[in-house]
Amino acid sequence: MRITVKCFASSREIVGQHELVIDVRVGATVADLRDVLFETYPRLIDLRLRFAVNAVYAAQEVELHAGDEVACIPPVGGG
Amino acid sequence: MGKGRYEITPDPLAVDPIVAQLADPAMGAVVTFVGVVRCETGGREVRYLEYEAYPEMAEQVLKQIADEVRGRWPEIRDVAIVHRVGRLEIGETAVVIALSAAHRGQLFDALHTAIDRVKEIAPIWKKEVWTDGEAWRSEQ
Repeated sequence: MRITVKCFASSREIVGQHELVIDVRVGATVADLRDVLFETYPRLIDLRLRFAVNAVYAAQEVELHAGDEVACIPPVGGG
Repeated sequence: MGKGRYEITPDPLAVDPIVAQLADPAMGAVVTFVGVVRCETGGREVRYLEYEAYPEMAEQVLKQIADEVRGRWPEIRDVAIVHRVGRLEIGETAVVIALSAAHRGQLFDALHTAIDRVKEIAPIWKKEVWTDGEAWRSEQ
């Protein structure tokens, strides 16, 4: 199933684009998607990334569904 | 009461219109925090800042922060949190937080908590561009 991945800030710079579409198996979790991203873009591993699913912070064990939007959230710091 | 305003915008921020939106007849006090781009950080000269956000999520998180603050200090009548994105020059306003209540009471504590929470959990990032390099602030 296809998952849209949005990348921000340092993760966007490492990936080289703001948005990716990644195929994962049915039943895949945030952690599974993270592993695919880490394999493809090893520099992401050092970023202390959090993830959001459909614009809500999500734990690694959250299961994904076709069409979900997952965001890579490097350490934040606005203000 | 409590229309609320939680917004990520590329447009320059002005404090007065944001405060004006909070107006209601029972309001007796407004406190504001205005975050401004300064010319120096950690001894390095800043040329400008680049702010980036995940707007759809950030606006929800700003509302969540407002709900947290109102839950803890029920006397708060209304909350506005507006954060700018894009390239900001020295002296430009990056964020405005405004809280209103009937009395000043706990507004200062609530304001302090609100800006701390924005920095902690809102998906907003700031790249510092110095005269001799650049880096994302939260990764230094």
